[in-house]
Amino acid sequence: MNAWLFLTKKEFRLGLPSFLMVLIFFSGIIAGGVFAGNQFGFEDEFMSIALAIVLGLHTLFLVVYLYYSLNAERRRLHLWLHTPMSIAGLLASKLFTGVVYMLSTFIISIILAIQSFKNTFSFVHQESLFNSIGSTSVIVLIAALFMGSVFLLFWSVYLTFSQKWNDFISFLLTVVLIFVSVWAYAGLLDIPFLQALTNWGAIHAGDIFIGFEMSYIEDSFDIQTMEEATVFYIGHFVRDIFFAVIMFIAACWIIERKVEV
Amino acid sequence: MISLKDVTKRYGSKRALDQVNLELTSGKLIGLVGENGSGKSTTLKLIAGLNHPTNGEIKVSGNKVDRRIAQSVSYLSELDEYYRFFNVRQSIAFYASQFKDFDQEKAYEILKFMKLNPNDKLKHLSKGNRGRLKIVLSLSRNVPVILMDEPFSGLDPMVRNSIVKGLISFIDLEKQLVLITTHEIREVENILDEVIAIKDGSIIGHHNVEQLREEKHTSIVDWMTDIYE
Repeated sequence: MNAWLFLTKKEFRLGLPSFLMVLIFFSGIIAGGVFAGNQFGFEDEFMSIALAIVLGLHTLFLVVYLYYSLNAERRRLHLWLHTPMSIAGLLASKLFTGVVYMLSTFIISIILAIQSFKNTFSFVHQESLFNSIGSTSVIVLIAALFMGSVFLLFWSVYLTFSQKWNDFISFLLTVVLIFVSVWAYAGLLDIPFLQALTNWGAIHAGDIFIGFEMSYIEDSFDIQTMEEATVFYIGHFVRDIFFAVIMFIAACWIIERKVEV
Repeated sequence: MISLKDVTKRYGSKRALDQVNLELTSGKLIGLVGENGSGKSTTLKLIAGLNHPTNGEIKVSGNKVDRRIAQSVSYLSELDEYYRFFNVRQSIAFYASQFKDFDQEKAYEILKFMKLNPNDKLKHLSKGNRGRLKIVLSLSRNVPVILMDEPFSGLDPMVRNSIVKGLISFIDLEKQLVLITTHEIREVENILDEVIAIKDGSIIGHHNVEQLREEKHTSIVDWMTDIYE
């Protein structure tokens, strides 16, 4: 455990530049929102749009972080892999630091978003707004973890390919494999048996704000908010986490058995 | 201690090692010599479990080798890549945290011998000093097997000789086996117990250095020149 904690401390140092880059990028989007809001006189609205984009982009946070961190290790695989620690321990350390960095920006973004959305969408039921933000947070975080596992798997596949072919061909082969896998995964999710297996543990999230409905009545616009009763299934989250764990284990196996220095 | 049985390693169509058989016993300092691309580094990586043999079997202390053999094998790579945000002291602390057998006291002793400042950042170290640090980190582990791939390549020729001689004092020759690949054969000749010559992935000679000198009246360099010709 002590070895893993020291390793994780090293991972924080190694991944710091990518965290700072993402932080600057997110700050840039928010600054852009503030600037555009000032220009057009819709400060809260543009700020809300910018924060919504930032929140959405968190789904890719782990992918960007792992890309940077693993690419840095690729140059020194002889150091990274020469350890008695399991590959699962090595990768878990990277995932953990990535999640910590991600949560630090995500929590700040959520706090800003709640404040901004409350000002912008004051006509939306507050309960509906909180339901939207709460469900978005869960979806974004699980999606980020899922994407992170997908990246780990295909990075290990790419690394294995790159031992036989050059980087460009390895990249192309990996991209092809990603498309095939996404197609197969989408097909898998459509199987009625799997749907029956995962449609359990319904959570009634209540009404979620999903958009606006505008109508023109007697020389004036009438704007109504659209809200939808939403049901989440715990089974879907369990399914996603299950597949994420499978991909993580597969990545560990590939690096352990196939990757060479 | 280390055994390779019919070990073959292919990279695509290229055969890096071809049916290599080796038995190395502990308490020896062994030199693995040969021209560039002869299979020296591949041999070390295979023993370190960082590469996988295409055919054959490798064992260290009776255990089949895989990557986790790192718990009883210390490996120094020829590559000049380190975590450059660390300073020397942090590098030692990191290694000490990762390997239970890492002896920090010994590390600072070797560090002093190598004239390295613990507070120097790795990114500011010269290539020669990074090479010295690599030696510090690999020799500070109390493991049965130490593998060193071109450990002297970045060192100044003026100090290389004294560093090579000093190394002996940091190796436990009763318990440890040190396998070194090097091009600086003249410098290491006097400290080696055995020498193995490798060419085109095959072992072409394996001798006790003392016997080579006494029976054949030849140095390693002359012996190598003979067999390579």
